[in-house]
Amino acid sequence: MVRVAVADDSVLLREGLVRLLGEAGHDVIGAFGDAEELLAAVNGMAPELVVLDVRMPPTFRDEGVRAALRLRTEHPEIGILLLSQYVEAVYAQELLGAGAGGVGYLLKDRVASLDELDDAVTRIAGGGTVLDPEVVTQLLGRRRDPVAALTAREREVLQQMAEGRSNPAIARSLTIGLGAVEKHITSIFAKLGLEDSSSAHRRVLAVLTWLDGRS
Amino acid sequence: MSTTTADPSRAAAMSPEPAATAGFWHRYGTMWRSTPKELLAILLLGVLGTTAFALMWALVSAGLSLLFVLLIGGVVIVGALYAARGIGEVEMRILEWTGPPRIARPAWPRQPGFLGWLRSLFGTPHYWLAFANYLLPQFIVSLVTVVIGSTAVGIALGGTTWVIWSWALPREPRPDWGGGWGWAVDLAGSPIAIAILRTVLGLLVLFALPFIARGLVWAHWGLARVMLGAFRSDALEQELVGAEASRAAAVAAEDTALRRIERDIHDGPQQRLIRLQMDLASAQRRLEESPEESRALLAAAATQAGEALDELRALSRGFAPPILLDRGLVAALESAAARVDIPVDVVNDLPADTALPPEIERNAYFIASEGLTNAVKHAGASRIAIGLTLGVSGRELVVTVRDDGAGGAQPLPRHGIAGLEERLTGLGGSLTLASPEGGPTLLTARLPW
Repeated sequence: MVRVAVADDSVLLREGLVRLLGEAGHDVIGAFGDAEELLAAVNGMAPELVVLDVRMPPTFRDEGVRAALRLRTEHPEIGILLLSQYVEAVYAQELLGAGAGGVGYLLKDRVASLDELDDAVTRIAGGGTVLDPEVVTQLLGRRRDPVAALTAREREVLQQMAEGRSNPAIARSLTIGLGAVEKHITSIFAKLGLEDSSSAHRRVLAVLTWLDGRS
Repeated sequence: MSTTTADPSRAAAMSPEPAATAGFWHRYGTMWRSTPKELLAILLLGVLGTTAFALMWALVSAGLSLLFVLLIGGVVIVGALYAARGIGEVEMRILEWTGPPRIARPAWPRQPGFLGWLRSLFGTPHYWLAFANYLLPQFIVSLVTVVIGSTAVGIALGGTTWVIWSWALPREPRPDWGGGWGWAVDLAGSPIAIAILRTVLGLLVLFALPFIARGLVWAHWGLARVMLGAFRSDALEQELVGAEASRAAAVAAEDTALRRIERDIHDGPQQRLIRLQMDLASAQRRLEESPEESRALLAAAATQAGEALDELRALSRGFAPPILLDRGLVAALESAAARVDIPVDVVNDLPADTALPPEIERNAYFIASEGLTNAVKHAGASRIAIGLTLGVSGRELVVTVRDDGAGGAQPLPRHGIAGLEERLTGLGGSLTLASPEGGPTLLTARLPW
C-alpha cells in the first residue's frame, strides 16, 4: 500500500483516479484541483507518491511538470507520477534529469488499466522509473540509424529498458530467460557505445541521453 | 507613402544651419549643379502648360458645341480626359527628372465592358482633376514661374555683366533738376552709381538663383501632386482591397480546415465511440447468460476506447501541438526538430522579451514544420536550419527554413507550400521560396501582427 496524493483539475478524471487507486489497494490521502494546493499540503500529509496532471490552472500549460521539478528539489523522497493526455519527450528528460529514481511519466490512457496503474505506482514508490512506451517511441525515432543496427529482439529489449523495466520484468514480458535479457542488454550497450549500469534509473537516463543525441 | 516624403538632404539644403557654414557652402554648390536642369524644366513646363492650356480649351469648346449636335462631342471630351492624363504623366516625368520625389500615380481603375469603361472614365476624379488642371491652374503657375524665372536669369546675368556691355547703350542727356537737391539726383543717376547698383542687384539675384529655380520647380510639384497624383485615400482604398483579399483567403482556409476537422472526427473517433456504445450495450445484455462473451465484448470495447483516444490525440496535435501551448514556439520547434531523422538546428534570434501573439506562434509553427517535412521528404537534405528573427518593423516574425538538399522546389497547387501561402495571405504576411536546381532551398515566411 502506497500513500498517494492526486492533483488533477478535471473532476471527472480526479475521481476516476482516486477510485482506481483505491481499488488497487493504495491509500489516497488527498485530491487537489491544482498544483499549488498540492504543494501547500504536501508538508503536512507526507505522501509517498504524488500523481500530477501536466496541464492545470492557472495557465493550463506545464504546471504539473514545474510542480514535479519543485517537488524533486524540496522533497526528493516523494515519488512522482506525471500523467497527461499527450506525452512530450522533453518533459520526460526534464523529469528524469531532476533526480535519481522514483519518477514516472505516462499517458492517462494507461491508467485505465488497473494493473498498469498499480505496476507504475509500486515501481515508482520503490525508487524505479516508469516511462510511457509512447515517449520511448518518440525518442527511438530520433536516432534511427544506430537503432537500425540492433536486432528486432534487441530493439524490444531497448524499448522496455527505456520504459524503466527491470531485467526480470523484461524477461517476463518477452517470455525469455533472464540470462537472455542480460545478453541482449550487453549487446545493445556495446552497439550503442554505452556503459552498462546496475541502477535501473541510471540505465534509463543513459539510454535517454543517448537517444536525445546531445550526449 | 514613402514616395511623397521629401529627400532629407534636399530639405537640409533649403534651410542651412548657421553653425555649419562650411556645410552650407558645400550644399549651396551642390544646389547650383542642378540649377540649369531646373531652369530648363521651368521652361519645358511653361511650354507644356501653354500648349496644354490651348489644347484643353480647344477640345472643351469643340466638345461642348458638338455635344448638342452629335455624339462626337462625347468622343472629344473623352479625348480631352485622356490627353489630360497623358500630359499629366509627361509633366510628372519632367518633375521627377528634375529632382523632386516621385509623385504617387493614381490607380486609374478600369471596369470590364464598354459601360464599365465609360463609368470608370467619368467616375474617376483623377481624370477630371487633370483636365481641370490644364484648363487653368497649371497655365497660371507656368506663366508665373516662367516670368519669375526668366526675370531672375535676366537680372542675374545682365546685372553682373553690366559693367562689360553698358557702354554700348545709347546715352540720353540727363535732365537738369536744378535746385538744392539736384546733386543727389545727379549722384544717384551717375554712371558709376548705376553700375554699382546694377552689379550688386545682379550678384544678389545670381546668389539667390538656385533657390529661386528650386522654389519654382517645387511650386509646379506641389500643384502636380494635388491635381495629378493619387489621393491619400487611394492608398487606403488599395490597402483595404488587400485586406479584404487576405480576409477572404483566411475565411476560405478556415472553412477548409473546419470541413476537414468535421470529416476527421466523423470518420475517426465518432465511429469508434458508436461502436464502443454498441459493444457495451451487448456486453450488458449478455452479462447474465453468457459472462464469457460479455468479457470478450468488454475487452473489445476497451480497445475501441483506446483507439478513439489515439485518434483524438492525433487530431488535436494537428490543431496545435500541446508543447506549443505549454512552452511556446521555440520549444515546440525543437520538439518537432527532434522527431526528424536529419540533424536540425533551431536558431532563435528573437529578443528575449518578444511576446508573439498565439496565432502568429501557431502559424509560424505550422509553416516551419511544413517546411521541415518538405525538406525531409523531397530535398534529400543532410542538414536543416530553422531560423527565427524579428523583422525590421519589430512587429513581424521572420521564419526561415534552409536545407542543403537538391533544390528545385516549386510551389505547385495542392502542394504543401501553396497551402502555406494561403495561410500567410490570410495573415497579411508573405512567403518566398528560393530553390535553385542543386540547392540549397530557402523558405522565408514573414508574419506581421
